[in-house]
Formats: sequence, C-alpha cells, structure tokens
Amino acid sequence: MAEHDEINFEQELREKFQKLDGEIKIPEIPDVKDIFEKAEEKKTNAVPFKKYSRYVAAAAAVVLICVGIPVVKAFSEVSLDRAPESANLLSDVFDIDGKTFDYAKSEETEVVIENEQEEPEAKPGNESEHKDNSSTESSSVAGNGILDEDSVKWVLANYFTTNKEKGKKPESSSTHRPIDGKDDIRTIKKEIDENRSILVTLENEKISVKLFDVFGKDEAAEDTVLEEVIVSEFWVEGIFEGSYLSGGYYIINLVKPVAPEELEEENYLPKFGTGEEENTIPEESVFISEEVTEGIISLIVEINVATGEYKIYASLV
Amino acid sequence: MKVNKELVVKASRGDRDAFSDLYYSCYNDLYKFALYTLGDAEEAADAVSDTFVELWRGIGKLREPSSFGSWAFKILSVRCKIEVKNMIKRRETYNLDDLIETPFEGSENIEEDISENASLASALSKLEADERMIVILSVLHGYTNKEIGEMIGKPQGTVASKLHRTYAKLREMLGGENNGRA
Repeated sequence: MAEHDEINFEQELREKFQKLDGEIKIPEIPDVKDIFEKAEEKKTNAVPFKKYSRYVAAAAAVVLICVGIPVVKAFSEVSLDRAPESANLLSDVFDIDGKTFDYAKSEETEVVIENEQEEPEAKPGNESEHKDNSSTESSSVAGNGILDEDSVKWVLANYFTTNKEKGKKPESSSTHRPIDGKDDIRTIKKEIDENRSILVTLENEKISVKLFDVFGKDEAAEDTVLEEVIVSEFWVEGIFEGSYLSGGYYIINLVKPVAPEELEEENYLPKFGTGEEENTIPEESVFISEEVTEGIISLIVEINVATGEYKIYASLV
Repeated sequence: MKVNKELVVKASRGDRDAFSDLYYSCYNDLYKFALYTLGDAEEAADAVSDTFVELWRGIGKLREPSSFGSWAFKILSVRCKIEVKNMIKRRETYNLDDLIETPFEGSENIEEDISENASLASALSKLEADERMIVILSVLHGYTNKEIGEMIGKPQGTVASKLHRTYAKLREMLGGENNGRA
C-alpha cells in the first residue's frame, strides 16, 4: 500500500538521521569562559556615547536645521509609486557586530488558500449530492515579505530574459492507465479506507478531484453497487506529478510550467476552483526559491480525507 | 533539544553558572545542527560560539523561558544562512568527512554503517541550506512546521511545502518508494 510505504519511508529516514546523528564527530566543547570574554569584548568596543552626547546632540541639531528643511520640502513634492514594504519583515533585529539583539516574535503571517467545507449530510439511500466548495483566502499580508522586485512576476521576467522558452517540466515518473483509449484523460481511483475513496482525473494541464464517502460497505454483498456521496470536489491547474497518502492527508504534486506569453498576458499564476467557479492563486502566497532554474510553479495539494478540506502550497522553482 | 527552564530563569538574572550549565547541555545539539547546515566543522563551531555570545547578551530580555531552545535555533539559523552565503562566495563546499565518524571498531556491519551514513550525508549535501535546516529541525528535533517557520523566518505553509519537497528529494536520492504511485 502506497500510504504505508510513505509512512515507512519517513520512519526509516528518522532512523537514518538518528543513526548519523549518534555518530557525528563532536569536537571538545570550548570553555564557556570564552563566551563570556567575547561578550565583554563586544561591550567595551562600543563608543561611550554618554561622554560626547552633549556635543553630538548640538551638532545633530545644526545639521537637521540646515539640511532637514529642504529635504522635507523636496520629499513632499515627490509621488511615491513604490508599493509599501510588506508588514512581514521580522520585528527582531539580529546583529553581528555589536548591537543589541532584541528578541521579539516575528509578525509574519501566511497566506494559505483554504476551502470552507460544510458538514456532509450523509443520508443512506439518497442520490449523490454535489457540494459547492467556496475557497477563501486568509490574510492578505504576504507570506514571505516580498517587494516588487522580488515578486513572482519580476522573477519570472528575469528568468525569461535568459530562457526564451516555456519553463521546463520535470520528467514525470508517474504511471497511469488511460481509459477508453483516450490518452489525454486519465483517472486514478483510490480506496483510502472503508469509508473514503478519491478519484483524481488528469486532463492535460488540469486535475479534478472528488473525495467520496462510501456507504453500506459492511452490509453490502460483493456485487452490490455502493452509494457514494461527494464530500469534496474541486480542480487545480497543473500537470500531475504524483500522489500519495500521508497520515490523514492525500497529497497531490503538480507542476505548472510558465510560458513567456503567459507572463505577458498576466496569466502565469495557477488557477483552481469548483465547477465553473475559478480562482487564481494569490501571487503573494507563492514561495520563491533562492534560485529559479526551471521556470515552473510547483504545487502541493493537501487534502484532509476526513473533512474534505484542502490546502494548496505553491512555490516558484 | 531539552532545556532546563530553571537554568534559563537563573541565567536571565545574570547567573553565569546557570548559563554555563545551559551552554554545556545545549552545545552538542546546536553544533550538530550547524554542522548539518554548513558541512564544515570549523564554521559550525564558530557559528555556535557566536550564537552563545548573543544568547548570553540577550537572555535577560527573554520573555518565555520555555522558548530558549527555539530562540537558540533561530539565532543559529540566521548565522548559518549568512555563513552559507559567505562560503558560496569563497567557493567552499560541503565537507562530508566532517559529518561521518568511523563507527566503533567492534561494529558488526562496519562497512554497511559507513555506507549508510555516507549516503545520507551525500544526500544532505545536495539539499539547499534551508531544506537541510527544515528537515533536521523536523526529523531530529520534532519541531512543528509553525515552530520551524518562526525560527527560520518563513511562513508555516512554506515550511510545509519545503519539507514535502525535501522528503521527495531524499526519497529519490536514498532510493525510497516512487511517489508517483497511486
């Protein structure tokens, strides 16, 4: 079973790390006195401000009067087109060369696209119900503190100055059975447990997902067609790369290679939705890798198999 | 990383002995984290030393003693990120030898042990620094994605995304199960 293999791999990895960790060469721990001495050195390197404060204050006042007024006047005439910096800059200041480290919690918030899921009304014997899943965005504050020049659009524009073609889709290692001889539409049907099954339909550069609640399995005879109620139904733009069950979540990996013309048309961000309703993944929720080498947006769709809620994580690589 | 809260409280009041005890009890975990991230024993030792200097200087302002561990990793991860950039400029590479200890001579499967550690160390060397930090904090230290995000300055969702990708990379490099299987 794929889900057991996934859990087994994580456990194996943990064991391997613990083994390596237990065998790491640890040098002799330096004497703690060195730490106290270094801390003292940094303190004494600071300029004794108090001694010169009166003179410094006076000089500063003169500078302000001579320079400040014309500067303020000039600024008031300039219109600032730049987008304000994100409020997500860390509020603590980390220092290397002698200033005070001020510990405070980061004010970053994240943008995670979540759907609002109603309780499924399970009535044995009813026909399948279709649930409308409306997705809402959480806070609009950027998750990784991006400025204009670090936006997905800017990074992609940079990428396309040296790479004229569409982003490179990685070699797909997934194997799927085409149905009815149609190569461009494929399905993956997976029984998650006795009450849940999932159907993923792959259509060119889009996947559709349906999570079912299955009834009556215990009492049913082998040849009985079981009632299925749709718990969650949605689609996401992207090329299917793989999927697996991990704990209580079904994970789907997708990629969306971006073409230069899509950037020009402002149509570079992946879309998702239910039925005809379409949403676009917010730009500020896309994580940008340190080095973009492929020009693709990698997506991870995480589906809670118990509730049907899903989250989409996107990163530009 | 296990931290004695009482020691933290005492150290925050200027007790050097208490801070010394914290230092010796936390050093190994912080050193290994820096070593995994930087792949260089000397750089790792320097990063940890600088971290403890900052911890001593700032511990008086620590509001919650139970967060000493995550605070320490936070400072260290920033140090490590800066050092990674410096190492790239100096064209220094991840040094696998610093990671792998020769197993005890009495080990029955000494060759297998060396090979397994070498494979993992090699896989680590191919990850980005962020990915190394996240996987170590998650797998070895058991921190949640939210806690890791606060330490390394990234949103929780980003950490989750990176952790998934890192697992996939490691699975591929270490010969784990293909994640394309349905």
